[in-house]
Amino acid sequence: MFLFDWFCSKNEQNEKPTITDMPYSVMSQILDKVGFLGTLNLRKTCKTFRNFIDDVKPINDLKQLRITLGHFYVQVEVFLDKNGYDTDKCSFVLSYQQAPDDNSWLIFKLVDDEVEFVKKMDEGEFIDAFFHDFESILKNQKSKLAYLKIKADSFVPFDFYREIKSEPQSMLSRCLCPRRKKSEETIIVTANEANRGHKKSVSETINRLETILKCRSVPLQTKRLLLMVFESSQVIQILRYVKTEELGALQPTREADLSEKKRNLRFDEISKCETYENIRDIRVLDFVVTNPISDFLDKPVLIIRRIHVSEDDILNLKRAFLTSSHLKRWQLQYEDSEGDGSIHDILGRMPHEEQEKWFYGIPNSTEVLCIQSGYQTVLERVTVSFTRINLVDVPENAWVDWE
Amino acid sequence: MSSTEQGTSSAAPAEPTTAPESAAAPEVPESFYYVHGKDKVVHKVSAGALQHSALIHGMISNLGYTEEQAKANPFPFENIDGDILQMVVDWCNQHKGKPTPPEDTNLPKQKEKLFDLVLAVNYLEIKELLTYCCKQVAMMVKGKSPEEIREIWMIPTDAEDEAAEKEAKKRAGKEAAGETAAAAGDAK
Repeated sequence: MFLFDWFCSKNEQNEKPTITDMPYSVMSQILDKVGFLGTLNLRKTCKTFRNFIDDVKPINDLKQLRITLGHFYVQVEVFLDKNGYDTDKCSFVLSYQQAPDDNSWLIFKLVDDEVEFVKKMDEGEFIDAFFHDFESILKNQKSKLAYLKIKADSFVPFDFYREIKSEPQSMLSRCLCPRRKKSEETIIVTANEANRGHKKSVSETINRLETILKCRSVPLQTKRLLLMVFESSQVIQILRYVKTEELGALQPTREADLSEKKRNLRFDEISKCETYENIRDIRVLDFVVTNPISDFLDKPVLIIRRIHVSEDDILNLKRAFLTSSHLKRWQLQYEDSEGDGSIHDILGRMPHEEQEKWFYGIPNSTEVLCIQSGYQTVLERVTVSFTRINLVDVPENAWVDWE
Repeated sequence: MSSTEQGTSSAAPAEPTTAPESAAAPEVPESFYYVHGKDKVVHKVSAGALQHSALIHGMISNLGYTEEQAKANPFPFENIDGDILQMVVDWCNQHKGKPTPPEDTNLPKQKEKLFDLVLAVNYLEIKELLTYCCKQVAMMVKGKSPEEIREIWMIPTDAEDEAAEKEAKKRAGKEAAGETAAAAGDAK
């Protein structure tokens, strides 16, 4: 009757069966219905259950993980499926932070804007506490997530920071200890100094995340992946082990002094990885993507930053959009080093149009290619967009080129 | 719902009472089979209801029993308690030829009964009922702390588990030694 003994000591004395008498396949089915929070609690009951759960990797209702790596804290926003097992606890936030006393750390839980103190420990570091809780989740999550965000938080780039010595920087602890003693010692550090330590700890955390994700037999799956990291290599570090349909990559703050190596992002190393091939939508706004444009022609949606876009790039892309129906929306952002005139020289001038758009008819199709040029003042970048739109959405007076 | 009657043995089952009549008489007479559990109470179940059980369906699909042959050869499920088999038969009858609903609220609340039912349903390979049962078992620990889960599901602590494992190994060792000694005695 029993298919497989998953529990070491079976119930032998009692006549009535218990959970430990369930066959392996049945226990797997039960675990699939326990839900994310239930599974976490079950892992804490005993070693056998913990090993069994890690082995079976039950499906669960975890939908989103939004991890913020802050200065002296890690905050994780957890979102569960609204129609799943834990409908009454759909989302909560866990905050792991260094306590004012450097040798201890605290965990807080936020549910419905209410802060609940969870734990204080006098040993180790807050980051270890975060990994203690989330290592098994990241290692064993089988169900596809809707959204995974890993965001390195950054200071607002003021020139100087006035810090209370050993004071944690998180908003939570500021709320919890709002009164500052007059005699407290303050130190002044530059933005760069303050960020340097933080960047180092973010780098170490990303390395640890990479190590965990690397241990998986199959990549972690998510519909959307957003990475807000300091260096381009950190995007590759995570992306290599996460299978996503949509990738977003940003920097916490735009830094002018970022070295070319850290600023330039090249997908060559992972272009043959399954995780990269799966992506349908790439939006990399702060790093400069250095691959040739032709490397991305299998991606329907693409928004990338370049140093320069050549006449050939624009003409090749125009041709590709006219002939390939899978291409939907692209935007190239680049520094306007060639002067204002280049896009007009290539596509022709539209002097009476405030918003400059070119429309090209696609033979045997109800779609039209719209090429739009613009300038983003804040970013100081020229943008060129290629979008396939429905013919009915073309403005009445617009001229469509059916060349 | 099928009616039941206490049988005396699996070889010579007691005459079961008649099966429930459906509202509209079927055009082709439906075939019936007989099953009994540990308590030897024989249940008459239609082939249509038994289709829920992949195990029984596989057994009967090529038998071609006549009514008399089926009556004379009830399927014995000695590892299933009578009341549990009754529950299973009732469920199969209730859901005969019907699409199964997304929820089933008529499952036993008592955990021992539920665990018994899960084991029986798994053995009989009734996929839909097993899904309901597993969900019901999972719901037992919803919102519970690890300590509460341990209590509800009677999960031993690591220490208890290790002690039980040691005890089981010790017992197995003694039994093996006993068997070896007995075999040596026989050889003499």
